[in-house]
Amino acid sequence: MIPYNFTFLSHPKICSGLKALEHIPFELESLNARKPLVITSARWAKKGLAKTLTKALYDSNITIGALFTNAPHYPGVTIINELSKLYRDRGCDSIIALGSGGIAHIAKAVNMVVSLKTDILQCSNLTISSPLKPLICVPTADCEGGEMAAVAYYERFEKQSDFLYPDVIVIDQRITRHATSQEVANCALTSLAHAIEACGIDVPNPINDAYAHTALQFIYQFLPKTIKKPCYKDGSVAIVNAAACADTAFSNAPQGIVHTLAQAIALDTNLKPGIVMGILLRYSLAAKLQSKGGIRPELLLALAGIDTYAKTPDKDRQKAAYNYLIQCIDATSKFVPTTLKGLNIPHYKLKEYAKLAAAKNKQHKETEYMALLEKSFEGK
Amino acid sequence: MQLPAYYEFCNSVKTIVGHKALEQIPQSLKAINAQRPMIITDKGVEQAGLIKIVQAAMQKSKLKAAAIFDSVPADSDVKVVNEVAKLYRSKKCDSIIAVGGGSVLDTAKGTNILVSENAADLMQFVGYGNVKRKLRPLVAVPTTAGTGSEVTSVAVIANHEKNIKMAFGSLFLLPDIAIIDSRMTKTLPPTITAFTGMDALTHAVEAYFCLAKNPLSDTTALAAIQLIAQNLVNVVKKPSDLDGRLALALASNLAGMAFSNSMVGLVHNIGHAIGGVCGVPHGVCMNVLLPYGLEYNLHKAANYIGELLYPLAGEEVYNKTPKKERPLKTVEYIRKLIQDLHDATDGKHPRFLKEVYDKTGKQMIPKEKLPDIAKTAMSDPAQFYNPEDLDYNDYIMVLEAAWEGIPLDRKKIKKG
Amino acid sequence: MNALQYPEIKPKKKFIKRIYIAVMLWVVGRAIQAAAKVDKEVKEEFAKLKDNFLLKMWIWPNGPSMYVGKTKDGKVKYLGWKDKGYKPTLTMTIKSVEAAMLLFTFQEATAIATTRNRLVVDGDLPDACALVRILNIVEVYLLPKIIAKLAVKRYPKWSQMNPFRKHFGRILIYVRAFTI
Repeated sequence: MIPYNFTFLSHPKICSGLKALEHIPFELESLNARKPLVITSARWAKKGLAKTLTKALYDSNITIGALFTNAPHYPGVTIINELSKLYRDRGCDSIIALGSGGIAHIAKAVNMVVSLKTDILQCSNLTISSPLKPLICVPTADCEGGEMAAVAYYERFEKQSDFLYPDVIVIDQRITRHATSQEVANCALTSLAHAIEACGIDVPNPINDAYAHTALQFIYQFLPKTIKKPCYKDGSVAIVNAAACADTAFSNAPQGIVHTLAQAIALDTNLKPGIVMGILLRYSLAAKLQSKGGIRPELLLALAGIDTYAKTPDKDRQKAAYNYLIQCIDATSKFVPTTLKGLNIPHYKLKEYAKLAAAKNKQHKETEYMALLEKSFEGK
Repeated sequence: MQLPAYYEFCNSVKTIVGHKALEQIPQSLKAINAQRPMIITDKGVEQAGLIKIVQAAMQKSKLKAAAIFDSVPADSDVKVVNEVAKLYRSKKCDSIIAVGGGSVLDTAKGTNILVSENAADLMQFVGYGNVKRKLRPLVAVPTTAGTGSEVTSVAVIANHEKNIKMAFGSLFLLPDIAIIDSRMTKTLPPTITAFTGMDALTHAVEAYFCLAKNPLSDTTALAAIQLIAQNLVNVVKKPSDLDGRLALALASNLAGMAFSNSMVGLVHNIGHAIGGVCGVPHGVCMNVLLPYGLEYNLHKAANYIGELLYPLAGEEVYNKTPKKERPLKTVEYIRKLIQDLHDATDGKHPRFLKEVYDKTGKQMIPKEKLPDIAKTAMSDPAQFYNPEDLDYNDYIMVLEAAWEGIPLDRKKIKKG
Repeated sequence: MNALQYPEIKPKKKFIKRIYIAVMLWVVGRAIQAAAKVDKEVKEEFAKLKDNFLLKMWIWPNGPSMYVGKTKDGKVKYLGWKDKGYKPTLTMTIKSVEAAMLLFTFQEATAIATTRNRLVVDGDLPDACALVRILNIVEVYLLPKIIAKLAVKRYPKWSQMNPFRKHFGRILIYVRAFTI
């Protein structure tokens, strides 16, 4: 048995379910905050989510310092600086990110600027050694990965720090139900890839496994129905829960081959990382199944539950886990092609992506990245 | 897996696990700008040589404790908290390393409130949510496996003069860092290993079937139960098994994560009362009462209790047992575990309440005390999270069965 | 960016819901006072509480509130909704108007609301246990079985609360609660 030797941190408090939004005032109060800057996009404001959130803060002592409804998708320097100024001018003491993707990363970047009292470009070089201002994430179901993790993506930077976790994650069906099927597919695939890669590491980490397994359970159980109808009951809540658990698992494990490659491709092509991860994951799992280490049999326990796991003979568990995982990926087949070629990625770009990935994440050799890209290109 | 209509989960303690986890204290404190830690502990821990181990590990990175307080009593007391805070301030400390069990942790949390808020009186912080700011760094080093108090956001400190117990609840009370190192439980005697392990098992089991259960508390609880089932008896028989010790310490940590987010029920409800009336150690009470907690709630939580058979007994037994019989089989396995621990400790590990003796061989829970215990249990809020309701007669029924060591007559349980 | 486009937003009040909750708190307060006179078990529970027992049940952060306490002669009295310098020994804080609505429209039983962290109990915890038992009895009296079963963990069988006690007690409590 390999002895345990790991560090684990998950910071956010998760509030998930019926009337979760209405817990926000009490949570802010317990963080000694009463005047949040709310950041969201025009799309979500149009869908009425900003109004829903505002109403949830009625009958409390929370004054919204400013409700910014024009956050762009891209977390660029200009918007970060503008929002930081708005935060300061209004005397805000906390931030609520209403939405996922760029909205959450803009919020994290603004939080760094207002807490560290420095320019956003300087932040990349600084080590954060104390908590930032309170940050509440209210995700929509179009998560792209990292919103609820200990990482912030802004401009072309990626900053990792324990203090970049949000303080509270509020998952409410009134907010999560509005994503499209394509977005749910993207979110689920990102979470799946992060969870699988987090528990595929050599050094055992049962705490991280618990989070990764929870993410897998949510996805396997809820994805098929939710992808057909994102507003169906609490399916979207489950998918966002999976994203939250997967983000924690991702923050506590080295970045995997699928994540690194998907990031490189997404940056170059503007494709959603989740779609790319879904394709790469399929072939990465197939390769893992044939490899010496194989796929961890416990994934079957997470996906299928105790009864099925216990009934499946030991020698069949890896294959069974693989089949269940492919089922999850196949549930998104209407929205995600099965090969990179299907995304119109030209073959000559593969070498460039392999190089970029190897430069960013030296855990794997360039040849490994290239091998996965080749397999995923045409599915052969 | 069920998605609850609403749930909350928070586990924001940085956990460092390993045979050399203590050596990471200096860099972890440095990363949060702390350089002058105070060690808080009790005489038992100090005499077991554990503080020397902690100091030696810190010395490898040239970090020295700025102050040491080693006289925390078995029951955390406000007078002691004030004394510790005074020492902290006089030595200009900026962080705390708490090495010990529940009482040490609670004292450390209380001290941290006083020194961080620059206050002289803890009363203003009593209750839930009255500590609203990040406190100074606190590192928790548990020395049992255990109470899980390194991941709980509560502290209970007694004011013996006013005869009250002050309860504090706030996420800011959570330690910044928890160190799970096998050296801290290596010398734990077999009897203490046994009942602290059962304490952790109770946390995980109750977290799995009580009313506030949620997906994350479930997965952490199952992981904890499996680790305990696989390691507890072995470690009691072979105390030098460091891998086993680490597994149990990690299980206690996982169980702590689970129960601090989904609460506990009947077993802790009655266990607290026995502790209060008869002075019996917490883990000993939990150990005896666990099978009864399951029997009492079986009609309301059969499915969940049945699922626990898998981590407790393994897949062969789980597969062989028809679904309907699994809940009772789970109870049988818990009783078997208690019996195994009883045998492994040469009869010192109690199986029923009448078998609980103190060091002088005196029976700690006389039968005449059961009514007092039942009355006290009625005042413990852990009952809120129990699936089935309890009144005085229900408590007496459970206590009498647990005293004699006979299974609960489930036909007598009132189902409403 | 034109910051004027994004003004400050102060929280409004949900008047109708607040009125409903205020009425329900009044009913609960009056019913507790009545039950303390009518029901033996409730009487015994209150007798065990300290003389300075005072419950504040309220919605954070702006109310409405309800105060029930023991008077100097040991009687249980509904003290109204205004804070007249009371020093509660037990406070049940419901975290929001919506959480209170879930409770008072019986969508969430008291036990479920507790497990879902919709409310916080501060003060003497043994008294909190007594109060929950009192509230359970009051709910069984006030509500028809089909609703009370949703509100309490274990609806009493005939052997635990005979129909005569239940129905006669119900009449008395309704009369006492809704008249002076």
